[in-house]
Parts: sequence; C-alpha cells; structure tokens
Amino acid sequence: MPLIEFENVSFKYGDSENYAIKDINLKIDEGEFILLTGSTGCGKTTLIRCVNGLIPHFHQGVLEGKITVNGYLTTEQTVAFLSTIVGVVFQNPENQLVSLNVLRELAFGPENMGLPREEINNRINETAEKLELKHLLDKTPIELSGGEQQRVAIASALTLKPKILLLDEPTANLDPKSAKMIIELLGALNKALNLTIIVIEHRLELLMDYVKRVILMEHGRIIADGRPAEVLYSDEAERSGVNIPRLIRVFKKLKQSGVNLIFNPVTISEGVDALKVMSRC
Amino acid sequence: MSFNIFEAFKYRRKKTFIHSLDPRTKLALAIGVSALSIIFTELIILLIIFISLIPLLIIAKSIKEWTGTVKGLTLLIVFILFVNIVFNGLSFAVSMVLRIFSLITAFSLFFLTVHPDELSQALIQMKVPFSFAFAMSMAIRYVPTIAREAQTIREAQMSRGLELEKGGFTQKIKNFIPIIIPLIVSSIRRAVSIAESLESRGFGAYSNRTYLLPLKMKKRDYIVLITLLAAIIISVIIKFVVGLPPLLLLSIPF
Ligand SMILES: Nc1ncnc2c1ncn2[C@@H]1O[C@H](COP(=O)(O)OP(=O)(O)OP(=O)(O)O)[C@@H](O)[C@H]1O
Ligand SMILES: [Mg+2]
Repeated sequence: MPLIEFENVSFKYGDSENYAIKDINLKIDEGEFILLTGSTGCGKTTLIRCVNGLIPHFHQGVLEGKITVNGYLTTEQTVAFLSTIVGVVFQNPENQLVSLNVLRELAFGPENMGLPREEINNRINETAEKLELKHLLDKTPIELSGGEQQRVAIASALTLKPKILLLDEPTANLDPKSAKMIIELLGALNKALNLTIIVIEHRLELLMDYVKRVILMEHGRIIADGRPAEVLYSDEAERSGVNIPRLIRVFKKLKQSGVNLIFNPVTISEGVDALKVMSRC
Repeated sequence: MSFNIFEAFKYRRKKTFIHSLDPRTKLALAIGVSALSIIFTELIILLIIFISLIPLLIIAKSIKEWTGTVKGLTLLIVFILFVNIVFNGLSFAVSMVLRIFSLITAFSLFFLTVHPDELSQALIQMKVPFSFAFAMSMAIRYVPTIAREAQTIREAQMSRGLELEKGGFTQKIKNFIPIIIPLIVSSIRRAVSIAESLESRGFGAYSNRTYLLPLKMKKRDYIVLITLLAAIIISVIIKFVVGLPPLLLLSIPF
C-alpha cells in the first residue's frame, strides 16, 4: 500500500471560483524523495496542504476525491494527529519559528502532543545532534542565519518523528551555499531515516543528485510524473516554463542537433559519462 | 524616547542571584514593594524603601539599564514633581517622586531579570490559560520581526517619494498611512501563515500538554519570600498598631 495516495482529488478555496488543484491522482511509497515543481500558482502549496490535512481542516473550500496518508483518510483525522505522520516546513522560516529560543522550538510539537519530558528531551538531543544544532539551542530565532533558521524549522518538524517531510521552497531565501547544505541534509535524512520527502523547489539543479522522481504541475494538474530523465527532457517541461537545469538544456540541444544519446543525463556525473560514451564512438 | 523606555524594560540574559530567582518570587517582590510604597506616605520611609531596592539592582547587575529607564521617564517625573509642588507642597511632591521611583525600580527589576518564556511559564502555572500565555510570548517574539518590516516598508515608501516630516500635525499623521496599511496587510498574512504552522504541530490539540521546563520554587525563593512577608507585616504593625516613631515622621518643613 502506498504511503500517500490521492484519488481524483480536486480542491477549490472557499473564496475562489477556480480549482486550485484538479483531478490529482498520485501514489507515493515510503522512502521516496520527490521534487514537486511547476510555475507560480500551479497548486504546489495546495497539494502539500492536502497531505497534512490543513486542507480541508484549516483552509475551507470544496474538496473532492480521496486522500489517504499512511492508511488514514485525511478528512477523518485532525491536523494534530496527522502531524505525527507528516511534518511540514513552510516557505518562510520566520513564520514558523514561534518560540523565543531553539530549544523551545524543538520541544513545541512534542509538548503539544503531551509526550513525557524524558522522551521530549531525548528527541531534542537526537535531532539537535543530527542537524548540528547543539550550539544554537539557547539562541533566539532572530539571532540565526537563514540557513540555521531553516535547519531549526526542519528539526522542529522532525521532533514529532514523522514518516513524511514536506518542504515548501526551503531554499527560497538562502544563499547558494546554505541552499546546497539544506538539500544535502534532506538527502542524508532520506537515506538515514528512510524518510519520505517531497520538496517544492524552483532551483531544480540543486536536487538532481538526490531525487528519483519529479512531479510537474500546471494549472492545478499534474502534467508529468516520473524519473527526472523522463520529466525534465519532456515537452511538457519545456512548455511549462520551469527552470530546466543548464546541463539538461545542453544535452537537449545536442539531441536536437542530431547527436545520438543512449540515455538522458541529469546529474553532472551522468553528463560526464554521456560525453565519454559520445567521444568513444 | 519611548523606544528607550521599552529597551530598559527588556530582559537581559545574565547570571546573577536575582536572575536565578523564580519569576513568581520576583512578581511577589514587585507587588510587595509597590504595596509598601503605596501604604506609606512618610518621606523618610519612602526613602528607606527606595534605598533598600538599590542593592537588589546592584546584585542583578542592572544599574545601567535602570538608569536608562529613569532617563526615559525624566519628563514624566519632572512633571509629577512640579504639579505636586504647586498643589501639595514640596514635602508631598518629593514623597510622590520617591514612590514612583520605587514602583519603577521594582517593576523594571522584574522585567529586566525575567525571561519572557519564564514569565509565560509562570502565568501557566498560575492557572492562566496556555493560549493566553503563549500569545503573550509570541507577541514578544515577533516585535523585532515586525519592527524590521516596518523599517523596510518605510524605506520603500520613502524611496518612492514619501516625506514623513512634511506638513502640519494632521498631515504628519496622514503621512504614516502608507506605512501602516501595508504593515497591517502583511501582518495579517503573516498571522495566517503562523497559524498554519502552529496547527501543523498540534498546537492546542490536546489538553494534557507537557511543559518541558516547569518552574520550581527553590530554597532561595522561600528565603526571599519570607523576608518580604516579614518586612510587610512588621511595617504594617508599626504603622497601624504601634505608631511610627517621631524621627520617621520628619518631613521637609514647607
Ligand atoms: N489561502 C488561499 N485562499 C484562496 N486561494 C488561494 C489560497 N492559497 C492559494 N490560492 C490560490 O490557489 C492557486 C494555487 O496556489 P498555490 O499557492 O497552491 O500555488 P503554488 O504552486 O504553491 O504557487 P507558488 O509557486 O507561487 O508558491 C492560486 O491560484 C492561488 O491564488
Ligand atoms: Mg507555493
């Protein structure tokens, strides 16, 4: 059974005429690391809100279809219950660091769940260790750099021990180096904990070394879903105007100009391999 | 100036005996001292109350911040002094000012040495609902964020030709509208997104919420509280039962 399943899901926000997402069918298995992309307003954030139950419990509107997460129908569970299965890191870290210091931020979710103190302390230690936050525990959010804020936001979702982590443009406000670090961290978490991760990201390049699956949306629908090599070389990707990585654009050009590629390279090392093969023949 | 007053009441992280006291103890201290300085009207006694607070400021290493508070309030103090000299005489005016000094000192000592998190935890343990205490600590958390945003909006509007200092009084107030409106809009948007994040971490979902860092009264708290109580009881007995010795009734003779 897939960990997340959407069956014919559509959603319209209460104050809106149009569907924000339409006819979504989606199956995601445990341990997948997925890139969700598409141009502005195509419904990515809406899709994520459906997974953790903010839709329909927090954002009112018209929800059609069936969403199952870890076997539970999201319509029948509370957001609080779902939060122990699905962690979310929203777009602006400033708005989710609500405590006056990092320690309390990490404790916030487990405290709300009424877990025993000892368990909460263990989780904080474990998570702070893993995400290298030990030295920041008594800092206030405004003392942190953007990258640190984002790491704390991730950590504070992880202290609820979710199986799924959803991130909405986690690198949007970061410099290239911190952005790379955050994505590396996600890659490591995906491997080490078998954490299922969905990242919304416009800088596709950053994720090419990690993701095995790309979901592309347009006007509320999924228009392509598959391995990066399929999706990013597709006409849909070209048409939707997403920021296709340079490397892929180069190889697409090569293909168009008649060069024969035996596979579609996505990462730099695949690109190097492809070039080696080409130069040999 | 108003900003200075705010700064001077803001918590500073320090390691002192006073900082290490339970916030409830410090609250009792502030209220007790206020009560004493309201019960007594005698100049000398008010002076004694005020002077006895100074060692506490020194122990809390907060003299500098306290001076800031007083400086920020100079205008108010001078005003009170002046009005009272005119209507009630010098002796009463000085007493009044001493009283105000004691009140300011007691409460700035409280706010300078109690971390907002401790304050909200104290409120929770005094049976204030969690959502209320949390709202308070979150308000403190977001003050710098909103202040920075206001600054950004101000700069943006000024770069588009807004002149804040132009015009008369009402015009000056009107000049702030292009700053206030975007600030309100963005704050509402921020509030929705904060609410989303709180909701997604189970805020307020279960009634058996854990508090990771509960406050516990220590021996030092009991010592301070007992001393405070004794001081209050003794002074009340002296004032109302025994009567004050003439020496303490001295005042400025006009
Ligand atoms: N809270 C809301 N209330 C009403 N309409 C909304 C709300 N949030 C989003 N929408 C609308 O739903 C549609 C999809 O928005 P969504 O935020 O899901 O897109 P997105 O892909 O995340 O875009 P972006 O890349 O800009 O973040 C848009 O037309 C948007 O205007
Ligand atoms: Mg979005």
